[in-house]
Amino acid sequence: MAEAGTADERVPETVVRPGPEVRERLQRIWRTEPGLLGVVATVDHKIIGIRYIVTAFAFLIAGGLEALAIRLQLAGPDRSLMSPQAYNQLFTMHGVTMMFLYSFPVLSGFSNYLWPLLLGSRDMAFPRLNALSYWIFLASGLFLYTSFFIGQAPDDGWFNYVPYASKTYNAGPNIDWYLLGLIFLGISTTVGSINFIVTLLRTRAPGMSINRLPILVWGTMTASVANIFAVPAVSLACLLLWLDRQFGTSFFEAKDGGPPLLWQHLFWMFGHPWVYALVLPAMGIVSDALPTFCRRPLVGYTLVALGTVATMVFGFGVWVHHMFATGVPDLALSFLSATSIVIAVPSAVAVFAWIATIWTGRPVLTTAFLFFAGFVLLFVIGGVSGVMTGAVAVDWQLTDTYFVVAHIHYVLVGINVFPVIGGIYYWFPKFTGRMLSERLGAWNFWVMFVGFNLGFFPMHITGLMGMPRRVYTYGAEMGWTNLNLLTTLGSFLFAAGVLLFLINVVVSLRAGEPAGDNPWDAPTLEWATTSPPPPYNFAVIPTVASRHPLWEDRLDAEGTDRSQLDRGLLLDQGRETIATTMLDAEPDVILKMPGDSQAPFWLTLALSTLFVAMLLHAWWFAGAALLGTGLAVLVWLWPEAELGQREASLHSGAAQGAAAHV
Amino acid sequence: MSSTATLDKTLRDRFGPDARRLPVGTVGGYRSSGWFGMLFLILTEASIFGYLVFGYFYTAAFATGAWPPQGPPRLAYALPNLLLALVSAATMGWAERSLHRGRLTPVALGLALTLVIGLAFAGLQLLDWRAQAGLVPGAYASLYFTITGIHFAHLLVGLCVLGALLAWTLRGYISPTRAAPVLIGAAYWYFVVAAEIAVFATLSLSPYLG
Repeated sequence: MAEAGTADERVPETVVRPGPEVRERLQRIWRTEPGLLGVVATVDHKIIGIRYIVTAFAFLIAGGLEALAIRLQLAGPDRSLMSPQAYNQLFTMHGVTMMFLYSFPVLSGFSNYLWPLLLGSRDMAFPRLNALSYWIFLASGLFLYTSFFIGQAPDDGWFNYVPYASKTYNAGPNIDWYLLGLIFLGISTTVGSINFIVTLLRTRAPGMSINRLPILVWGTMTASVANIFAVPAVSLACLLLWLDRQFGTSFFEAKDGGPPLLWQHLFWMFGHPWVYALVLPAMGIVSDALPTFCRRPLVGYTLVALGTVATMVFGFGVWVHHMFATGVPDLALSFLSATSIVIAVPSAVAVFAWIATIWTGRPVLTTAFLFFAGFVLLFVIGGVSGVMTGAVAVDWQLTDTYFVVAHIHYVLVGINVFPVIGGIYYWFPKFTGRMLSERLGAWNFWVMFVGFNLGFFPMHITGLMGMPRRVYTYGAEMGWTNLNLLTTLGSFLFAAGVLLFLINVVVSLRAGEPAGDNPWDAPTLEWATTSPPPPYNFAVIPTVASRHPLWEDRLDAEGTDRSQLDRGLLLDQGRETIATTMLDAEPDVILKMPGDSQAPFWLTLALSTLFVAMLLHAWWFAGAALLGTGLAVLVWLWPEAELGQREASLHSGAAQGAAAHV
Repeated sequence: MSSTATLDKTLRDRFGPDARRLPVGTVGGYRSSGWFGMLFLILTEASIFGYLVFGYFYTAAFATGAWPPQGPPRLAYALPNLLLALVSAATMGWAERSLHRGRLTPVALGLALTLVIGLAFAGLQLLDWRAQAGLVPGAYASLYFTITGIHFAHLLVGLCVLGALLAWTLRGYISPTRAAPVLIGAAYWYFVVAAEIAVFATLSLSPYLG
């Protein structure tokens, strides 16, 4: 009987300028099967990354349409386009969609696609887990959106405060959809985050030491570590509230001794780190892509990298600034106000680094550059209004007004949407092999930029004038009419800008100019392979000697060492990539990577059944689904000899054990 | 083998001759991807217990009457449970050390012992719940049953893990080279034990400390 397993160790073959036969063999090993089976089973991080981005944009469009409906309702005083109940559902789903189903998943999409390419690897550490995190993201998003079909969508805002969210005041299934949907999505975020962290620890190319990591990697790594500690807070809060609503527990029921403020604490212990998780990877996109268009390396790499981490460390100590007006003790107020202001320092470091990069570089005014430069401006505006509300006295005046709505949109649209669209202009050639139109791109940027500021800047003023957030209408005598009309016009202009972007994508997919491997003459590893990259990413594992492997010939500061892109480890005995040591990235282990697998898809189906059954109170069904989930996990984790996870034959393990005895 | 294959001297110089012969697949255990994955799974699950403990003391701080409302809980089941948990960590450690030494019979024995102790733990927890059924509904009872309930759920997962590990060991999958499943499962079990210590300190010990 032939041994199905793998040898315990071997000398990996090293190859110089691999020929077409090598590439064909790797293609056969790594490709996804065509047809439906491949669609369901693929674990290619690039396919998963694109799926993440496309799905997140679909949710961006849904959330955007909800916003436009809201703005139509608020365009003038006493309008009755929709009922207050419908308005509540729309602004809640707008927030939930943008915060949970667009902002973070779209960044996961970039990182899923780019990480192995940036790190010089062939896949993420856990390819099947990667597929699982996407499928669960999709399923939980659809789960949340099914609530619209019976007109019972969540209606208590994206942070879902009790007591309005309790059974007493909100008896329908609306809030249950929110609670179960968030727990469901939390699984996706958690497994995705673990995957990023372990990928960073393990699957970097030789020489990709931590001082050479692209800032996008720092940003996503920081966000992932934060998610590990932050997501449980909201998942737990949702579980407890769901128990309150379904089984009569009293975690948040004041009359039975449950403090309602506990919800706010748990939510914001998650919520504030989450906000940084939504922006740090996006800031990483800018830190990596902006220098390409400034024709120089990023100024202050080390400070920006450390600032990324510092922001998140502070980010765990600022949650109470969402609760300044709830009667928190003075000492806690002072401390959390101070951290909320101090957190501006690492962000400011990054802003100065970007400005210095532009200032000392030779900027090339591409569309991507425009988006990144626009982002810096919006970041400063949103950052300053953040520092303002970090001061307790100012916050007491402004909390729950449109000033805060303006702030959150400057921060999240400014720091997430603008870098994301800029990032797509930058990496679209890599994703598809074609360029986006620069002419349409300039229109795209300016319409979005003008529309955004026209729409959201006046919100600062409506807020200062006292307009509370979340009201479904207002009287003419309040004097908010003109500003609201301006905001509505601006939001439609902004939406037109997003539409121009979508048109550009559709047109360029068919008729865009062919991109070539490195159309921007960029410095990092993803541009060293073809556009789009082959399923195996790199025919040989590159060896990295600097932060800018493709700019070494022109940068004196990089030293004399040269990265090697066309010679390196071959690793072609099945799906393989190299694991390197943690800090210095020296070759450590030859990793056997799993092939395509349907397990993530079926596991997601079992979990979806579980959550739907819990929503419908179909407990026996839920029990069966839980059993199915357990079985799917067992099948998935069953050790495979081909992956070197176990001894190959029934007796070799015992034989070795016996040998050890002797 | 590729016709273009040549040994690359530069690579060899950079990483030294030792680095050229590399383990293949999941070798050893502590440096396997799965072990790192388990480490971070434990951290995120431990955070759940951290937030539960926070919720417990936050609610206690805002309690108007006595806390716990009906006096400190009886330790008839909690204390034996804590001891069982500690013993099960020891039997698991024995299985793990035996694996490192290549003695597979004690590995299977240690896993089986841990499994039996874990089942006893689960049984005692059910008895404890029956004894606590008289708790007045309210915030305290909610916290008591939910904290022990979430720990119970982790315990059940741990028992399933132990069952799978035992089966894999008996099937000859496990060896000192291919040790990862046991080491990963052991890490999870230690977490279940550590969480029990935290749960005991919060629910059973803290009321006696005033």
